Amino acid sequence: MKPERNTIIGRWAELYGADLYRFARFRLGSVADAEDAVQDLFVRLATSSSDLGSVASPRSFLIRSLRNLCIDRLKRRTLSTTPLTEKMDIEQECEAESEIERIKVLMRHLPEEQSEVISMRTAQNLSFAEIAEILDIPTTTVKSRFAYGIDKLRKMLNDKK
Amino acid sequence: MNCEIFKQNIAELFDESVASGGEQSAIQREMLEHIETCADCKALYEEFCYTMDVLTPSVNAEPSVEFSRRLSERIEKATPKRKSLHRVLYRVGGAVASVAAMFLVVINLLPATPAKASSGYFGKAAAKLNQAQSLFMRISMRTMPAENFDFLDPTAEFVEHTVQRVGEAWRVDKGDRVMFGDGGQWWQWVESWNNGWTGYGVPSVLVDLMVNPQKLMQFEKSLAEADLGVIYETRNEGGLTFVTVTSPALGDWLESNYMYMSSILESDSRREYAFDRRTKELIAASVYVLYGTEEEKVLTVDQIIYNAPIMSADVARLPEGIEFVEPLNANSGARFVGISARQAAVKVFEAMKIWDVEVLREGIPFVDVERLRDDYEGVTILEVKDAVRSGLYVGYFVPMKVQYRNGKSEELMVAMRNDTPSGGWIVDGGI
Ligand SMILES: [Zn+2]
Repeated sequence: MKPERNTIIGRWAELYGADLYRFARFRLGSVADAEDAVQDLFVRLATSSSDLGSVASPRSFLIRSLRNLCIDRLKRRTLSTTPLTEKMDIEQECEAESEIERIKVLMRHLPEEQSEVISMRTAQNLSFAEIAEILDIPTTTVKSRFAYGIDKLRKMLNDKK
Repeated sequence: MNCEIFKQNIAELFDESVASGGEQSAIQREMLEHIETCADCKALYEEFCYTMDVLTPSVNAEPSVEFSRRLSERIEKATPKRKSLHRVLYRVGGAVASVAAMFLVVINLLPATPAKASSGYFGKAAAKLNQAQSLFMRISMRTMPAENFDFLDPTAEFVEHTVQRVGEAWRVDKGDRVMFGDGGQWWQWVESWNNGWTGYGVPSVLVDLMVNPQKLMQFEKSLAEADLGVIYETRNEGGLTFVTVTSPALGDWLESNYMYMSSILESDSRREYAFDRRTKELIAASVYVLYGTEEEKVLTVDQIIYNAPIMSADVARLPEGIEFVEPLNANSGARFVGISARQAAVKVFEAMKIWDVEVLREGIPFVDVERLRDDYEGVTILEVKDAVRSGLYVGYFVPMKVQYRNGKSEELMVAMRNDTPSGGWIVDGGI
């Protein structure tokens, strides 16, 4: 591995590691899977020959790549019979776990393209412009998916009240 | 600002900049002003806020303190598994066995057993592919765009290949490297290198299978009818039948695992095929390589169009300004007839030492030997071991330790093959 490549990747891990972890954690559910996915992403970058110097916005680039890895993992998971949940050892993990679970149950009422945009905005605190870049769709599309999704859930929550 | 415009733009009030108290845009300001005076829109806005609250996790799932340490350790450890790309690039000729040889491997391995149920799907799909007047396919594989077509790298990104076949003619394009064949001769070129080669037959197992997927189906059929510790699973879903084949790496691994995981068939793999239940056509496929408890998707057939409108003229188009050389000709290896692979490798390195261009051109036909001169002129052999076979490679690997004229020494696995027109040995890779 060229030293500069190593340096760039190390720097990215330092700057964006936690963001990426949160992203994967929300997508995949378990702590172990999230850590594993992020490690997997960086290992791939370290061993691939793609030109990192030309990456314009590393954060979006990393999230986009991680998103693809998560999608692959989720597909694989449905093919095999891996248990979806793992035991958590600390209280806060349980809390985060059940909250994420609760939110995911709500999101299931929405088409994937809307819930994805919403969770990127809420759980990952990404701006609409960043989401557009990651998903490679226009910002206007991101905003309308977001508004449709929230509006639908709003009506649902209203009915429940 | 009116209520209609407010509703249309309501997402604006939930962008990251507003949430974090950053600067407001003109429309955001106007909208916030509007809700001061409009009770309906204010109510809507508040309901949106409430919904957002419900959907935002209050406990942020923070990584543990150990996480960043573990991550940097993993990055540190992740060194390329392969030798430098520069070496692999010299394997332009296509280093693995032909499809025919691959069949022999399978057929020779064990006696046939009663046909497994899945062999029927493969047989029918093969017939459908055979009947197609033309085929268009999109295939993605983890490899490099300029690298030879068989080259697999499970750690690389996916590279899209487009495959076209009409009548006898076919074309496979992976971005930088393109190959076209007319049923007899093939032409292959890498645009970015400005290099082209030509020859006869199909010089790549994978290209042969991409262009003739019916051969792959027949291969799977014969594999299903033999008993090789291969596992089959079949399931029906949404009008499709999925057949999954889990099989060990094919080839000869007694002497060396050098080629292990260098191609799909030389990897432990899981291959998933989707067939249309009604038409029996193959419509998609995925290949995963397995290592230990890990697996990696390395190839997907994303699209197959049967009888696609393909123009022969487009398939046969050759690039301008690239000169095509025929690397394997009657002279190739002519001075390396009747000796062992090991002796031939030694002879090539002795010719490098004194830079005997005529001998080198015969012995290393796939490369412009002048490109090697800087690195290899004056090289001395420190050690040579017996040649070994590995995987499905048609030739032998000669393990060598050499010292360059700058004093550096290096261990090499020099790939030698003698399936040449002259029957003599040539260097096929590893330098
Ligand atoms: Zn209003």
